[in-house]
Amino acid sequence: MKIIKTVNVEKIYTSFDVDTVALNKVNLEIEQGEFVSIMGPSGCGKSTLLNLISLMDLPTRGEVFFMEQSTSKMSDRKRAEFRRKYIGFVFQNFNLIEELSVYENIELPLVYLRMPPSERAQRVRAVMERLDVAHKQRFFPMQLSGGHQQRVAVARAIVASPLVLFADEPTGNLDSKHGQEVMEILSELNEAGTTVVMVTHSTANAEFANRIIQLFDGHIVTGKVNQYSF
Amino acid sequence: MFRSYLLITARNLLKHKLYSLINILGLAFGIASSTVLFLLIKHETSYDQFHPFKDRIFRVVETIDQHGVGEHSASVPFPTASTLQKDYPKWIEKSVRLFNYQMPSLSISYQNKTYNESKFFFADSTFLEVFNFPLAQGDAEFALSKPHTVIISEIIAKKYFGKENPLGKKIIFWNRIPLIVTGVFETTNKPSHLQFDFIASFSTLESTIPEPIMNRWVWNPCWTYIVLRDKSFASELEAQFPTFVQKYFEDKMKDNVTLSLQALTDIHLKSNLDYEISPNGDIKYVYIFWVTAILILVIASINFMNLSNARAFLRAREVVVRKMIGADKEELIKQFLVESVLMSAVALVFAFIVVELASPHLSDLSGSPISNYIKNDWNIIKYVLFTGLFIGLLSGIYPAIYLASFDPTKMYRGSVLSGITEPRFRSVLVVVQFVIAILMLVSTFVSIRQLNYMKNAKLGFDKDYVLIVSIGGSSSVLLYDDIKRNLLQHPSILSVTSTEEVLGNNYQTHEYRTSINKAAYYPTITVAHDFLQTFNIEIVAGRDFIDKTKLLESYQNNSYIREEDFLTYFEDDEENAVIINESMVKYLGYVTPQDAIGQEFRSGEEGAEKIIGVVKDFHIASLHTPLQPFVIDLADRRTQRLHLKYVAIKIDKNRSEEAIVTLQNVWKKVNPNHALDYFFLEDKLNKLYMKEQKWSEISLQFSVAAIFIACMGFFGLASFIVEKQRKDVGIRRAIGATTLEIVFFLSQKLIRLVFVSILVAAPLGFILMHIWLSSFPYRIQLTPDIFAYSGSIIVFITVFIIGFHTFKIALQTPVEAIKSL
Ligand SMILES: Nc1ncnc2c1ncn2[C@@H]1O[C@H](COP(=O)(O)OP(=O)(O)O)[C@@H](O)[C@H]1O
Ligand SMILES: [Mg+2]
Repeated sequence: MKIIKTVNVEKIYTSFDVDTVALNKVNLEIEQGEFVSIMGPSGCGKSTLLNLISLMDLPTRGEVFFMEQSTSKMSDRKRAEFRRKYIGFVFQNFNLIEELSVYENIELPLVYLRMPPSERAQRVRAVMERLDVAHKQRFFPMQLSGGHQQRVAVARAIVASPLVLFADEPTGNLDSKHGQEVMEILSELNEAGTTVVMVTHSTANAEFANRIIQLFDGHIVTGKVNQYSF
Repeated sequence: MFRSYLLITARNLLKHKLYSLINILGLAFGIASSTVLFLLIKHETSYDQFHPFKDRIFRVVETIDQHGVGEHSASVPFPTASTLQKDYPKWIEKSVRLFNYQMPSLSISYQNKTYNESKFFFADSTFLEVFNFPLAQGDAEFALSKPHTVIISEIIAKKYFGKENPLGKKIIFWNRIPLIVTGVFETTNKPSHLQFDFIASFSTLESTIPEPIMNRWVWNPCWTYIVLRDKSFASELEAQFPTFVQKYFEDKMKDNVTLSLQALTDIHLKSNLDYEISPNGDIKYVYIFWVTAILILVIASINFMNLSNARAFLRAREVVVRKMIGADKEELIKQFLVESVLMSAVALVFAFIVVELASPHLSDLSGSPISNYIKNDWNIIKYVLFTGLFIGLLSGIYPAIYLASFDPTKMYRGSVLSGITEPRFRSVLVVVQFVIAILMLVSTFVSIRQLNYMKNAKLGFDKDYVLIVSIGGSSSVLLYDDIKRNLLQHPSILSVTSTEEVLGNNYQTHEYRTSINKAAYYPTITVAHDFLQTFNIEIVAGRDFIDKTKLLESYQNNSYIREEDFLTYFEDDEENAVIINESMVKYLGYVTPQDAIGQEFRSGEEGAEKIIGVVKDFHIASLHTPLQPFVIDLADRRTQRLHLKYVAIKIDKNRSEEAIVTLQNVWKKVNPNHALDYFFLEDKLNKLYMKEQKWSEISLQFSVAAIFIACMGFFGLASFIVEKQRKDVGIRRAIGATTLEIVFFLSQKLIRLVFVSILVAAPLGFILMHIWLSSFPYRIQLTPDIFAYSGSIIVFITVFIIGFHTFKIALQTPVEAIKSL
């Protein structure tokens, strides 16, 4: 199944009466099970693209298909349901909710899925163990180091076992050791069947993917298959 | 420096237009509302403050009490003033009596026109010395010194004489007593409990009222004021009153009479006696106005604080930057204080405009407009200016300190906003606001309900479709039989009777001797024939009055007169019969109404009256007073002239217009030279609740204002809370929360505040309303729905406001929400 497909997607930001064309007629397809890296210089539209294909934002023009369904005519409610059920997202700056503890942050997606509390507890515990943050579960985000915050963010993104995991520079704020760890987790997830789409600066990290999409000034330059990954 | 503050302030106000507007308007409305209340308070407390000896002037009042029945009279017998002055010259400097025959109106003729004048009094010549009522024309020293002189108001001068000089003009009192105009009062509009259009010399009465009446200590129609040499003598004089009463009052009543003094300046607000010279205010409402004014100011300043805080939040970045480039804390506090004072100055201007626009529509609790004399009082203006600026400063302090305390190092790390904690204090303020708003709503509901309850209560007699025509105090009373006969010829007129007072409005008390009392004063309704029928009053025992001049056939429709009553009855009911009510049966100690029938109820020494009937209890006065024992007495043919003051006409409700035309035609035919004064009984009785009416109007207006202001504050707070959580909203959206879930998440806290307010306000409101209602002997129940309605209104409005803010954010895409700060 083509889990993601874009047709002539454009995104234009308007602020202070100045239009910025962040994406210009982008066409892209991602199959289920792929591990895709999006690369390119700063400001070329990587985050914008990731936001559009993860249903976090709406394109100005063009069409995004998610699981072979058109999303442009989708109701807000339906889009929320898709995000809830099929999508996990790791933000570059973590975006944890500061009023909630580590445990509550991770649990939140399951709450929105209306999962019964006992099942929720089980899932949260499992994912906390996997990411080695169980001992921090009562802490609040402000009290954690960057590395831990990022792992909590990943835990929150995968706790509901999404079909696709999106990650916007998941290692950008981490040192190389922690960065390496996060990358290994993403690989493991991919091996277990989760589609992973990741934005990154680092060539080393991009190597984990089996396909690299190069973006330049809002255009896709190449979409080559990564020769080293198999 | 100050200039730069002003510049920055102006720029800031313009930058956040909506906030500035809400902030300024909220404060302006608050100040305007409380100013209006201050005007009302000032008006109510200014009564009789303009007399030079105001602190030394007292009114002598009389209480007659026999086991709970009797009267509290604002007036005393004729000789009281002169005798007091004669007996206690050390203490009493001057005295003055006012007298109007206790008539609702008196007839005055000029040339061939006759009017009913309700503000006509006879007064001793000292009137102008005791009170400060300046004359526009005439000589104050001599104007009342001779018999047959009168001073009139400017309005009356215009009404009677147009542009002609009124001095020396002759008007005729009661068709035969000439009065020469010797002065014209200046129109001052200063509030006084004395409302008059004519003051005639008391000495005129010497030729009209027989001397024995003038010297008796029974009838008590004179409003009597004394000027003490020093106000401290009041208590000493009062201590002498029991001796005084024993010495002069007639034996049969002296044990039941108490005299006391009332300070002139207390009369308007604190006196509520029988036969007040004009309707008074009520100190209770002055307190309520004070509380309302203060509460509204509290709401307005809380509002101002909360909105300033919300604005502060929007300016957090500015503050941080200023601090990082070296602004110190005092500097910032000064800047913010200048801002809030400036804003309150702008609000003051708006407030003055609002008050100016509203002031022509203002009226006091008795419905009369508030005079310019009050409105132009410079003290009020100073007061308002002070309050406005004070509130501006006070409400500015908290946000200023709060803003200035932002720590740049802390905030630089995370987002600017995460460093700002949401102070609990603010939530408390919002709860206070809503508690006040809900209380005002509850009080509005309760007062409107109580008013309607009193207006619509079953009084025990029919008050609708009854026309009342004033005939007392004029020769019209002699024409009563003619008028009645002529009226009854028309089918639109169902029944006609006559009464001493307006039924349900007030009553007189008269002396009777019963089986249990040698002589006592009882509330009495003196009436003419067909009284019970006209007012549809039910008899529970005995019979109705019978008119001997009529045939049995004319009583065919009267179920309270049987044939044998008619045949076995020999003596005139006028002299030999009274009807009492059920409470009187109990008061006299009879077990059943039937037991009372045939018992003595004699008027005076020679009276021969017996009880012939008992009626179901009905209300002979407003519902401010409980039901009481009373007697219905048929006016003697000889004294009818003195006792019957009103004609009461029951008309066909489907032909009311026709009935009024009939009345006008009959009057024109029978009494062509006399002006016709009539009104509907229902309208008159509704006026008994004027204070409650006015208060519920005022309460409604001010609860709308309070809600309006509180909601402005809430609008600001809601916006603040929502703004602050914008990023969290984005994150939650990204995780998959739906719009509704977000709206719910955002609203929780705000809704909780509203519910806490309702929980606090309900018991408080219950207690306050219970206190207010307990002053009414007949009152509504405090039912939960009153609180439910009030709460729902607040919930409805706040949910609307919350929705306005939250949907705006909840409808953004996750990325928009996260990025927008
Ligand atoms: N909310 C926004 N408003 C205006 N311009 C934006 C906004 N978000 C991104 N841009 C602009 O769009 C372009 C692409 O941004 P982004 O997708 O964040 O780039 P990348 O992630 O590749 O660094 C940039 O020029 C950026 O300045
Ligand atoms: Mg980016």
